[in-house]
Amino acid sequence: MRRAPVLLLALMCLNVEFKVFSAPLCVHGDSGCHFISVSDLFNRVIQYSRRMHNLSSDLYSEFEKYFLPSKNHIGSATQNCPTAKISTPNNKDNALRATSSNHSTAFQSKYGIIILYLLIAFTLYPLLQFYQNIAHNKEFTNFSSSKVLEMSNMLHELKTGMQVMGIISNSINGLSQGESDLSSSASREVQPMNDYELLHCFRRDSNKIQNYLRILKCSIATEHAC
Amino acid sequence: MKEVFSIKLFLCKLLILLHILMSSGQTPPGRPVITECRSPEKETFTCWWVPGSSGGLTTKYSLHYKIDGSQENYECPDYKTGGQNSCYFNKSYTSVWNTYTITVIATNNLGSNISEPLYVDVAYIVQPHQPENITAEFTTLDQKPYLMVKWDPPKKADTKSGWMTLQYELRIKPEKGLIWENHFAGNQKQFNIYSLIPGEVYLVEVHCKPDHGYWSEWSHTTYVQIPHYMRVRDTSIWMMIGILSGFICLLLIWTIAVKCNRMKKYLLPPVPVPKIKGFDIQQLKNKNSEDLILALGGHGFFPTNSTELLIEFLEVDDSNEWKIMPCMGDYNCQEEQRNAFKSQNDKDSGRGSCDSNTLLLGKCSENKFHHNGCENTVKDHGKQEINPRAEGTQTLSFNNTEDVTLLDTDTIKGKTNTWPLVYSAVNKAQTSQLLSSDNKLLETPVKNLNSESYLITHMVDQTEKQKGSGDPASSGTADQCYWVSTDEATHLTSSKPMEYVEVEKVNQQNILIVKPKSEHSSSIDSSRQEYTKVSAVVNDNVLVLMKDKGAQCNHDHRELPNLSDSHSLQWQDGKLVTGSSVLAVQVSTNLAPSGYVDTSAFLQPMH
Repeated sequence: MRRAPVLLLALMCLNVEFKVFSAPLCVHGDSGCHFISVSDLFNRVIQYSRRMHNLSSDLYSEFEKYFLPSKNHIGSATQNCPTAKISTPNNKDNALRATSSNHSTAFQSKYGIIILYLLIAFTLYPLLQFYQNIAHNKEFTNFSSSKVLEMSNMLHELKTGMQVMGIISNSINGLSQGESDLSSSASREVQPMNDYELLHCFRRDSNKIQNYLRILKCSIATEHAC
Repeated sequence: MKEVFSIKLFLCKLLILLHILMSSGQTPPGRPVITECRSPEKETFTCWWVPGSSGGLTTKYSLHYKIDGSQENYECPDYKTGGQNSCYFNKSYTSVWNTYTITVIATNNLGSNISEPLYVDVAYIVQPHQPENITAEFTTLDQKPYLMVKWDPPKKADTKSGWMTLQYELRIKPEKGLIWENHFAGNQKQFNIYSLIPGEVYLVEVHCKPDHGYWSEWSHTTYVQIPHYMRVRDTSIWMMIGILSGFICLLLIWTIAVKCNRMKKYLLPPVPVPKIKGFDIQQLKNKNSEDLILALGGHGFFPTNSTELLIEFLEVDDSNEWKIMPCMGDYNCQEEQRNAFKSQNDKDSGRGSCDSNTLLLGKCSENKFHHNGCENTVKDHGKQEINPRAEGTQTLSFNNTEDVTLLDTDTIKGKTNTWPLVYSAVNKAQTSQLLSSDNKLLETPVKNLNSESYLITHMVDQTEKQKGSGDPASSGTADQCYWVSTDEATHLTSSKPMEYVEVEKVNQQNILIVKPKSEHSSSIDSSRQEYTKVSAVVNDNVLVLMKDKGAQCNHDHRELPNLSDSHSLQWQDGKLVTGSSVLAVQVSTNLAPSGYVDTSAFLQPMH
C-alpha cells in the first residue's frame, strides 16, 4: 500500500499507453523485482485512494458534530481548496469523453496528469498542521486523532515518492507551462485554511481521485473488471 | 401637522387591512421544509420539499440554488418532472463535486417565507434504482446443491464505465417464514446460497448501494422452488441411526450369548421335577433292574431267610462339613463319593432328595427312612451339637419296616455326625444273608472322631432302641463277620479314600455282617486303615473280632463256630476287652464323642 501512489506516479510519468502488460517495477532499489500486472496495480491504487477517502470522510462527519459551522461557511468552504484551480471533469460525459475519443492516448495521458495534480495537491494539504491543531482540541476523540495521523502519514509518503520521482521539481516531461506553474506555485503558496475547510476539501478530492481511478481502470481493462 | 395626519392615515389603512386579513384568517405562508434531494445515477438529481401552512391563500413555491459559494442565484429548471413540490435537475444543470445551496421560498399575497438551506453534493446523495432481472437457479456442484442467484444492476446506473460502483445485498426467506436472511454480496452480481430446506419455496430480493450513498429499494420478489434433495445432514442422521442400531443389536447378541444360561433360567425357569425321596435317577440310568427294584423300595420282596438288606456305604468325615454319601452299588461308590465331596450344594439336582450323593439333611429333615430307600441323611455341619449321650455312644438304628427311625444325628462338640442308616444296594457278588425282619439295636461305643476311626455298629432292633438293650446272645452266630473299618481320613475334602463298611449280610441271629468293600481293601493303605473283623458279638457289649483282615466272610462263616479260637474283643463298660488270647486292651474311658472304637490298638497285639 505504501508504494501504491508511487507506482502509479511512475506509470504515468513514463507516459506509456495503458495496456494490459506486466512491467517490472522496482522502486527505491528494492531487490527482487516482481512483475505486476496493470490491473493489479490499479487495484492497489484504488484501494489506496479508497482508504484515503474513508479516513477523510469519517473525520469530516465527526468534525461536523463538534463544530457546527455557520451556514455561510459551509457554502464557501470549497473556495479555498488548494485544488480549486485545477480543472477537473465534474460530470460523467466529460470524464468519459476519452472512451469515444480517438485520441485515447492523449486522454489517458491527460487523465494521468490530472491525477497527478491531485496527488500533488495532496501534498499541499498541511495535514500535519491540522493534526497539531486537532491534538490540542480536547473534544476530538483519540480515534479521530489516529485517523488524522494516518492520513498525514499517507500524504507524507506520497510526497516523498514524488520527490523521488522528481515530480515536484519542474523536470517532468509533458507538463504544460501552466500546470508546472501550478505545481510550483502550489508548493510555495500555502493558503491558510481552517480545519473545517481542510477536511471538506480533502474529502472531496479523495473521492474524485477514487472515481477517476476507477474510470481509468475500467477503460483499460479487457476483462470483466467493471 | 400634515405629516402626522398622513402617518395616521397610513396606520389606519394598515390597521383596517390587517383587520380584514385577520377576520378572514389569512396569513403569510408557513415555512416550507426541504425534505431530501436524491440522484439515481450521479448525473441528475431531484429535490422535494414539504410546504408549510398555506396561510389561507394560494401559495407559490420557488426553489433557488447557488453553487459552491458563488453568489449567483439560480432557480429550479424543472418543477414538474419530479412531481409536486419537487425540482428536477437534469444533466446540464448537475455538476458533481460541487456544493449546492438549495432554498425554497413560499410566497402568497401576504408574504413569503424561506426555508432552511440544504447543502448538497451530488456525489453523496446517490440512491440508485432497484437491481433488475433477478434469477435464482438451483444447481449442484460436486454433489453440493445450492441456489445461485443472479441479477443485473439498474439500467441507469453506469457501472460499466466505472462511473458508479455498486454494492449489492440480497435477502431470502422461506415462503411461510417471517424473518429475512440477509447476505452481503459486495460488488459481484451473483451469489450462492447453501443449506436450504428441500421442497420449500423461497423468496429472494436484492438491493444495491453506491460506495457513498443510500440503499436502493428492494427489488421485485423472485420465487424459487427448491427440489427435493438429500441433505448431507439427513444422510448423516440416517447413517448415525443405522450405526447406532447396529451397535445395539450387536450388544444384545453378545449379552444373550454370554448370559445364555442365566437368561434361560430367568425366562424359562426349570420345571420342578417331582422329587421322590430316596429315588435316584442316576440309579435308574444304571439299568440295573435289581437296583431299580430296590430303589423303589422293594425291600419287602426279600425273603425272610435270605433277605438282602440294602446296604449303604457309609462315608463319614470328621471335618467340619459332614457328608455322608450313600453308595448305591459299590462299583459306583467311589465316583459317587468323590463327586459328593465336590458338589456340596447340589440342592436342586433333580435327583432323589435323600438319595443323592450329596445328601443334605434338609431334604430329609424328618430323619426318616422311607421304604423306598431313603438311606442316608447328611446333616450340615457345625450346626448342631451332638449331644453326647452317655459315654458318647451313638445309636444306629434301622428298621426295615416302613417307619424307620433314622439314627439320631448327634453332633460332637462342633462336629456333626450324621449317621444314616441306609439301605444300600449290595453287590451281587457280595450278597449275603441279611438280617431278618427282626432287627436289633446294637450300640457300639464310638470314639472321638478325631481319632479317625470308626466303629460302626449295626444291628438295629426296633424294639430295643436303648443302648445296650440289644440281645447279645442272639447276636452270636457263626456266620457273622463284622468288619469295622477305621478311617483315618479327617477331612471331607481330602482325596483320601474313605473306607466303607459294607454290611454283607445279616444272619439269622440278627447280626449284621459288615465288611469293607473289596475294591477298597486292596488300595487301602494298611497303615491307615485297619479292619477288624468282628466275628461275633457275644454279649451286647462284646465284640468278637477276628484277625483276618481280608478274609471273606464266607471263610469266616465257617470259622465262626470256633469262636473260642478267635480273638474276641469284649466291650465292657467303656472298654473293649480282647478275647482270651488277646491282651486286654484298656480302652480309654474317655470315649470319643463319636463313640468310635479304635481297633487298631487291639489288632496290633494280635498280629
